[in-house]
Amino acid sequence: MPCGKLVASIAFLSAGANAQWLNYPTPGTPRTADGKPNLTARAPRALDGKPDLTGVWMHEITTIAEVRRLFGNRFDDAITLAPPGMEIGTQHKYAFDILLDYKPEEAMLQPAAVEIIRRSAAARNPANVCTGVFGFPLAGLLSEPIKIVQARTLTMILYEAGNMHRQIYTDGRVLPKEVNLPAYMGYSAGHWERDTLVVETAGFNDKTSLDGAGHPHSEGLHVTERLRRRDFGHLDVEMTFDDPQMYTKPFTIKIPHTLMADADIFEDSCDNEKDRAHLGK
Amino acid sequence: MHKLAMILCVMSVSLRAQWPNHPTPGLPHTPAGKPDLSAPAPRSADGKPDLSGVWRVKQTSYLTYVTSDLKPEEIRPWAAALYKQRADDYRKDSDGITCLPPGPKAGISGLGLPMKIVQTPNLVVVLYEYETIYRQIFTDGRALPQDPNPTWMGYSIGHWDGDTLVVTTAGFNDRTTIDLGGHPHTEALRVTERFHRRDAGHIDLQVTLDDSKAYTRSWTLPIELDLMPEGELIEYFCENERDAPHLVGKSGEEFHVPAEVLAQYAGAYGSPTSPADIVVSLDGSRFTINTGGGKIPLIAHSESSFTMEGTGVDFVRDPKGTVIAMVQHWVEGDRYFARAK
Repeated sequence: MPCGKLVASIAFLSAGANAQWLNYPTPGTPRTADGKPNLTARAPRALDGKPDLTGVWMHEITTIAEVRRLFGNRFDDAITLAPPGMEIGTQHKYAFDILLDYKPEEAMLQPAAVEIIRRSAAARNPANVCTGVFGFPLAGLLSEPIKIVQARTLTMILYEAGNMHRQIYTDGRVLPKEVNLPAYMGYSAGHWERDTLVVETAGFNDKTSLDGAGHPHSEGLHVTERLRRRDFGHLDVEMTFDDPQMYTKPFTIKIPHTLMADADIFEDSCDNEKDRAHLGK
Repeated sequence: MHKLAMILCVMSVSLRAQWPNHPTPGLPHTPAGKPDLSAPAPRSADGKPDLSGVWRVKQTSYLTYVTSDLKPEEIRPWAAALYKQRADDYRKDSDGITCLPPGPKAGISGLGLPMKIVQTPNLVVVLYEYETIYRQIFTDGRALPQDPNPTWMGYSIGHWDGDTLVVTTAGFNDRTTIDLGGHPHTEALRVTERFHRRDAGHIDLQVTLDDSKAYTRSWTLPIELDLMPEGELIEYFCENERDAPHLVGKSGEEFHVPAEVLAQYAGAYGSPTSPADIVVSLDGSRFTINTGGGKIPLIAHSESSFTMEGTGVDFVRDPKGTVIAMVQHWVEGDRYFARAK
């Protein structure tokens, strides 16, 4: 395993202070006879007739038991130590290891990827809590939900993790062939294939890892996301990663999301000064 | 080398990248094909003005110095003392250094960077270029939370008063400042923003700051937002936490410059297109610069080097000793302003 020692740091990838709106019923939510949100009602439609993906969404959560089953005892320290709000058992399994379904993963890694994993493992310093930026897709796989806001020619993904946002242009533009300066979150353009929003993203920088295991990506990474709101309460997300410099073939992950009805995202910012004191020597 | 300039450097843009120009959907154009900024403001499906667009604050002086319209005695002593201490410490603990959110000054200034407003039926989202953060303004009729956990960016609700969107924000923590200069605020701060899109290209924005624990009265900043037609936000993440340990504290006493020397700097400065936009003046012992949004103190570091809220300003003399120009040391590079003839 090239990533054996790396995984413990995932506990510290999540962050800081939360705050809360009082529960407020989300307008337009279908409800059952007892007033509860009806998550199996039909997916709502936007004015243009397309499905409306707007909502606060939480990915499927990987329980502690499942983490132990998948990774053995590698996260036992983190299970004990991770602070409230980012306990093990609140993330998605692909946040730990995006190549989980592809064993043995070595077969997929290009030599460049193996070398980057080796070097970043040697350089990792657990005290550097807030020095990085949550990258893609990790920001959406940690302990925090996302909020999708679908406007007419733009769909926004607001991440609770790191308070950052992503814009998906749906005004017909296509991805630039070349990007002068690559970005953490890349550049995204979306179009509808029937009821599925297909998002193409490229122009990433190579500063972030795809997961806590440190699986790298290059600036040549191209991601295709397919978002389908199956019904009112469920969003199926499929992501395909194509990065021939790092991986011998494209790979796909599927992440079911559930609507957090009548809720909202909180504020979350990584406050190194506060966390550093708890990190020990 | 000014240490202050260094602070600004580490606050500066880390990463920039850009979409190729792409026409903004829905923007009216003149017959010549240029964006028509004086066309009527567009309206959304519900008949309200649509504030959507990429906007940039015209006045940047409030970003550096937000209390220019207050009298000194209207700043409570603890707040004035904290402001002075931060200035003495070169603002090394400011949120921009520690990569923390900017708090209410984002709403006042966007930190001088573009911001994008996206108006949807129940929610107005403001995406900031600065730190790639966002703010949600709920327009679905909800009230502000009664006793919220304090947050960096606060909680915002909005309602329409005729054609003006009135946004109220409360629930800030007290760890940010209301300007880059370091003016503090408390958790009691309440901000009211009134957005009026006067035409396609302009929003008149009035920001009222009310924090009686820090300032004896509320005051309103008249702000104009300019549409950036065909503009887009570019990604800007703060990743400079690593620079914080290199920042220094506590400045020395202010350098004393004789009044007759200061008087030589007084006058108007500008660029070839607007030759007298900047006014330097000496009123009694008060040596200030006005870049269009009020007087900002100029703090001396040598006989010819000053700072205005952290930004370095040097005065340039010709070989005969006549003051001919000023150079401002901004993040994006030095800016040269010739003295008006």
